[in-house]
Amino acid sequence: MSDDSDAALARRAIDGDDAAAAALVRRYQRSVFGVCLRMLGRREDAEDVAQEAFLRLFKHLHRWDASRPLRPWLMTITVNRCRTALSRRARKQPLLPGDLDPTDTSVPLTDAALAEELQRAVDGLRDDHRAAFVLFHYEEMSLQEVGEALERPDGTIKTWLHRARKQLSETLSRRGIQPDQRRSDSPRSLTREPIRA
Amino acid sequence: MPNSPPEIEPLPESLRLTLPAWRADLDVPDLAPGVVRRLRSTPTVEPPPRNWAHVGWATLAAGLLIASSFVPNAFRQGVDQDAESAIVEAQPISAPSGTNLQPLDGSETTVVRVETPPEDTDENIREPRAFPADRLTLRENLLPKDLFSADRLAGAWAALPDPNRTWRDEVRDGVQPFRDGAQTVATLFAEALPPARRPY
Repeated sequence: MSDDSDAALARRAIDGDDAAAAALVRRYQRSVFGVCLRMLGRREDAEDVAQEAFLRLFKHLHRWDASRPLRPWLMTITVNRCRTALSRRARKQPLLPGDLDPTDTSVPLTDAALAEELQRAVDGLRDDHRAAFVLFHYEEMSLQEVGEALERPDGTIKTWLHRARKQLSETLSRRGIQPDQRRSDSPRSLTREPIRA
Repeated sequence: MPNSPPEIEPLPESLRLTLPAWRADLDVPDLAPGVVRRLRSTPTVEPPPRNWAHVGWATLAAGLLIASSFVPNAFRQGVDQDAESAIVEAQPISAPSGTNLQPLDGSETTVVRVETPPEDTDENIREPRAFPADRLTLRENLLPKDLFSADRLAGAWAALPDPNRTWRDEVRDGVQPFRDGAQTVATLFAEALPPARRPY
């Protein structure tokens, strides 16, 4: 029975085993690509940066301490690559309330529309706030793991999370996204309300 | 893994209802083929730490190789000098101004360069260039012969402060320390300098 632990795959990848390298990529590509997509907001950018993150991982893999988990280190590399990509490209223009179609109100939103709305709000966050929010709420890392990945103390991460949530909530409210008060039987229902001046 | 530890505040309602859809909305591409291809096409894997013994042997071998390429060349340089100069003369050469290219002894391929004396125009008539030895003689003639004579040096030495006296003695006697001697030496050097060159 072959050893498919991270350490064993890493050793084989360092020795030039393509299958082991591919297995490592497939094990973590959902996390890496997901973080890249949530951080960058563009699918094509996320694919490029995710590949760069894995290439950087393999480049420095011989320095990895196999007694420690691989995922936090990989997340650190991924977030750093995302920050570099964000600094390279011009930031996306923040969405304006005028983008909302005023006729499309009080309509229950689909999951895809909700995801798109939240992603557009996440795009407007500051880079470090966005990284903390994505790692905690998307990657479901603990506060300590997020702190290690972003090289910040837990208190700083809690502050960043608080500010990110507050800004996201305000952005969603400005976009008219709020719980549907008329449908008390469906607690997960959200609607778009007309924007008040 | 718990998503919301106790120390984390509860999520706002709109955010709490939006997060599940945001987390689930992901179509992950297969990155492995692209990563492996780029991994093998570019030398991104860092080599293991260097074995310094190998580095030393490689440096020594490179040094020997370089030395072996220089020594035979230096040895052959004297032996083949005549042959190389013959080869250089036999090669076709470009024709700079003032030269004529003529066949040598009826040969069709060998060409020698024949220096053509410059025509006697006003531009080519120049004064003969003075050699450095002549200039040295000229400079010596400009210097006064008795500049560093024994009398002048003795006078300068006499003006210098007594080496057995300290600056405390000079201060006590009301004499500026070393002032007279310094002025004498400065005068000597000023006189030793050649006169200012006249503009041409």
